[in-house]
Amino acid sequence: MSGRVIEEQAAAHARRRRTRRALVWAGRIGVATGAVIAWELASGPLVRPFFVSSPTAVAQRLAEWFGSADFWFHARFTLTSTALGFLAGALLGVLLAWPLALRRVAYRIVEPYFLIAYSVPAVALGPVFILWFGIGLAPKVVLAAYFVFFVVFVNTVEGIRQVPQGLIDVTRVMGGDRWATMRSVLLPGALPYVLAAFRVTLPAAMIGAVVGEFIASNRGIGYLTRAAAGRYQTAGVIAGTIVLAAIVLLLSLSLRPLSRVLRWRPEVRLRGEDAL
Amino acid sequence: MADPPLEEAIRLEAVYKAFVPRGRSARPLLALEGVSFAARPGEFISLVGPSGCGKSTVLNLLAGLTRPSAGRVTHHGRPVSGVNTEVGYITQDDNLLPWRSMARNVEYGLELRRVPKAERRRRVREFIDLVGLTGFEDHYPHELSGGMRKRAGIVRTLAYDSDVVLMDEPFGPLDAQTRVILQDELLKLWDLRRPTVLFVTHDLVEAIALSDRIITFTCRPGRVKREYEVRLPRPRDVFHVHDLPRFRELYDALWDDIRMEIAAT
Repeated sequence: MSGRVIEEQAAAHARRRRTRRALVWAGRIGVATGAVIAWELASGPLVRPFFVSSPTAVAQRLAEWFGSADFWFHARFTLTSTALGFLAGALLGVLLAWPLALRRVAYRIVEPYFLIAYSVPAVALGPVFILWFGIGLAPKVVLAAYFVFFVVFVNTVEGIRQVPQGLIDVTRVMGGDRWATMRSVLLPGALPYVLAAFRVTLPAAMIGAVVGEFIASNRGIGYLTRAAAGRYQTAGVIAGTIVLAAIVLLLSLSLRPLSRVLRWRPEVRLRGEDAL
Repeated sequence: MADPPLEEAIRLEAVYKAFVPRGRSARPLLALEGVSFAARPGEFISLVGPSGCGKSTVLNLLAGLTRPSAGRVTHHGRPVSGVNTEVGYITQDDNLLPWRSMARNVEYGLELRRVPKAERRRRVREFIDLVGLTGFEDHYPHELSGGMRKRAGIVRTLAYDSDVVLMDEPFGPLDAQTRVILQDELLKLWDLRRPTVLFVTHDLVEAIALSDRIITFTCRPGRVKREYEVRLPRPRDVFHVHDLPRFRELYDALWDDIRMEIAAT
């Protein structure tokens, strides 16, 4: 009897999970299909294609691009500057957070300057970066890193500071030195914050890279998009943004395995009859 | 100065502790006022008193997590300076690392003390078995019940065998039944090595059932009010101590003591 109850419960649980997954995917595909169909239907009879292009025109443009070596060169350029900028900004943010998070005086000294630096619109700094670093890869990487650094830094500091004092005290009394406390308590404790910052700053890195390409460049998807806009080719602009979104998606997927280190976290959910 | 007598595990001598609480109205607060007492090796002492009377501060002083404003705190005759890694500290919250499995949590203290891996594994298995947690080694803390987490926290500290163990209301948040069961388990674990225990509690029944001596504290600023020798035979049956006449007698005396202090707050 008990065995049967347990098995039935397990089966019901697995069923619910499968249903939920199917529902999520069906929903995602449904939203995309609906949007594309509405767009195709509206383009022409309702809105002039000059303004909104149409899915078929965009698809045609994408197909042309995919067939040309030129396009892949541009895509690689944007992917490289985004990835490098993200890595540089994230690394710097995490590394700088450690010496500052637990030194209250030092942190309070630098805090206003970080805030000022962060509130400067990076777009406005773009031309200066071009002046300093030329029009090659470097200014794009710097701009991308700029968009990443502050968020990662602030989140890491916050993550380190929210680690319960009790865990640190217990570690110290049990014989842990500074290094052990850092490795065994502060690092894993701050990790959820750090990874959350990574997830939100990855798209920001690409925005930085593309802003750089918009300002001054002769390569990259940002450059392609801008060139299309200059010629009033709406399809090219939309195709460009789709490619950029795909690059972000690709990079986000590469971060996915990182979240496996957070397996220990309990899942939070709303409970009740209407909970899915 | 003469050497302190050898049969003394810890001592507080006229200890004062003032601190400035967080917040705007930052007026220094006196937590302890001239607290003195000592514990013999192997003695089980309970500290009881109203909330906020500085009992936990006493433990923090012995663990070296905070320093006395005046007076002396010694462990085996040596003043405590800096974090005292020679004591075990079982805090009110279980303070298990949420990202480590139960067994890895029990192992944590041994690991920090650089006990070789094989020895570590052996002791972890032994202690997990002692408190009946076998089978839950790979569970994360949030997957365990309150009682299980408490057991894991206690054996994590006892596994590395320090001669003084500080316990700060360890059974506070547990339900009444689990509490008594854990009291019983604690006495059995204590009996294996008989470390000196300083046990902070609100629960008079618990204090009597477990201790050799009970020290009552006044409300803030905390001072030692009285000391009681429990004088109940060991091993004790925590499930039935209440039936002994000595228990009644002590309970009434303690309650009178505490009631006056609570009324004073």
